[in-house]
Amino acid sequence: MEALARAVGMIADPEVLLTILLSSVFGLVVGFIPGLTATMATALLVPFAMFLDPVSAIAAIVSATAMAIFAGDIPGTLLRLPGTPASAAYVDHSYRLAMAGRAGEVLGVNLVFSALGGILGTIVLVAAAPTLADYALNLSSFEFFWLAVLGLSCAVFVVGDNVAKGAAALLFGLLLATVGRDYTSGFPRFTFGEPDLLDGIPFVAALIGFFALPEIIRTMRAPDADGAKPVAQAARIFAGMGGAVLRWRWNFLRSGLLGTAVGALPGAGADTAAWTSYAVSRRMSKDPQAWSRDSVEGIVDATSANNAALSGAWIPALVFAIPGDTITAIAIAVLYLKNVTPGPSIFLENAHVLYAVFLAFFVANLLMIPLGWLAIRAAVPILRLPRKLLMAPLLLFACLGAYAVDNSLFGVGVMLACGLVGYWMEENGYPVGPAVLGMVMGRLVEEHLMTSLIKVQGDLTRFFERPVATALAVFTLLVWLWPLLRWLRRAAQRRTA
Amino acid sequence: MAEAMRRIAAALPVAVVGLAAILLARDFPPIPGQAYGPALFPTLLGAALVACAIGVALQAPGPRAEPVTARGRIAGIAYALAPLVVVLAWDVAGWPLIAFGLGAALLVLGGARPLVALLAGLGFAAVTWVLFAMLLRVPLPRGPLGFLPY
Repeated sequence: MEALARAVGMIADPEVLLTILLSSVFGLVVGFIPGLTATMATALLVPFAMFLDPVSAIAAIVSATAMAIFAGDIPGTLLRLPGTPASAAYVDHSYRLAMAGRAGEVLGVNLVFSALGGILGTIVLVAAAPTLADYALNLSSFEFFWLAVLGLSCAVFVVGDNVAKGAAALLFGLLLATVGRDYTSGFPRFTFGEPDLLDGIPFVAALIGFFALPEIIRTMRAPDADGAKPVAQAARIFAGMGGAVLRWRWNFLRSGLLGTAVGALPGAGADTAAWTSYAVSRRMSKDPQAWSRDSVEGIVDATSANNAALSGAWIPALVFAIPGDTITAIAIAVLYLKNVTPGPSIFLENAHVLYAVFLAFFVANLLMIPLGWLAIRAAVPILRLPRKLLMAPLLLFACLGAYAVDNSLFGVGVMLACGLVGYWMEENGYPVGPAVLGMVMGRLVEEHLMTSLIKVQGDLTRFFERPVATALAVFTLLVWLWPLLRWLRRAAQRRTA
Repeated sequence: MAEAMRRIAAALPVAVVGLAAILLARDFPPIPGQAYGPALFPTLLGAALVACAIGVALQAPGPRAEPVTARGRIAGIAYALAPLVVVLAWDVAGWPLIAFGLGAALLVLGGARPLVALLAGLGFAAVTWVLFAMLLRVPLPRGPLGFLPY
């Protein structure tokens, strides 16, 4: 109770509230510029977060990402261009209804159900995280090792169809995490005599490079897409929303919970949650014809799920220090930099920080309603701006951010190198997300591996001695065998056909 | 033939990184009294990267990239190399001139009119100076504009 009171005091601080407000506006702007993702918003926000206390830093990330995911719906509805990948699942549906003169209604549904989805996800997070943390306190380095490996394995399979490329990206990220002093012996690895690398590759600069630079280069190389004309929207976006909430309450509950669960899977972010909920919505609709013709049901489901997924991603991040998506991977890194160690012990050592983070989720999702309304009102003139003109300030901003973390040009160099590598990766079909997850979790995985190996004097069979560790190892094996099993099933079906 | 080259081009750098990790890790000293040392994890990762590279090389390559116009190619290269210009000009020109000059040049490449680009570059230099140098106290270099306040 005392921790909760402290948390309320922390969030009620005018500086924290101003941080939430400013980062919300930033998230809205980045979110509704097509091509700029919520992850990019987070990456560009981190240099500022470095100057804030832990609660303000996390509150800024939470607010910016929640707003960005909602704001991605605005160009999706008005231009048929999803602002973020999380809006892509239902962009055709939204645009078709907007073209039929229902843009105001669709944007109202997007706004209200995004906020409600975020709040539902937060309620699940608040309820589930402490319970899981209690259990996690009994786990040893063996279970944590397998849990991390299982999480990373899921990330490889969720992020795309090409397992070899997803795994290569993840392994590359893990390898980048080994740069610097070794955890067990202190021996400098892969530093090539460069003192700036002794503490590892500067993470913030690297992630700005991985997420911002490839997107900027791709936008500049793409043919001009200027002259897009947004659909005019109706003025009253909240008209009939009370009835809509009542009518679609079960859809909202189902999709909110599904989105939270999908978000909690490592590697599966808001976009996967939206696609999954949209597909489930279509299959479970009581009126399939209306669903695909003139109903907002599918939009309600998907837009609730993608915002709920943001909160869900924090469950493994806070309890096991295993990020649910790239955004929480960045947030975990920020927490480490602020000397707050995520994991079950955070609930004992920094409960007030944790409660403050939970409260920040509620504040951000409530703030979404008025700010989202303003963003919708301002959207049409802003969406007429050519996107390419925004890339120059974004690039210089990225350079400044990479420099400002350590006040060192080395950061700008790392950003450039990681940006070019990230661009090459994406051009060749390697997803960047698993590489960043690997960078964040590399040290943790190696620590648990080495601690366990030292404990058992190298006897690998003892990694399977404890029941939970064995179960996690079997799950990990099944995740990796799944493509093979699927291929065998298809081959058997072909033979019988 | 072209398809095989594309597969190799996508897989070879991964194999090179994996092999380099294995070779460099051989020089890491073991921990006294322990069977495993700092070389274990990078070696495992390197071996797995080589296996992934073989997997990538055996698969059909992804779809070809969309054709790019000459203007798009130049703009892409200019934007990719802009951080290098920032690094090289950092001490000599200082941040305000970099933000103004480079910002305006990049905007022109993005399709802005020169006058609009110059005004936007000026605005960006002023805003970032106030935000980073004066409010966040980031020690940005002034360059020849030594009169600017911190």
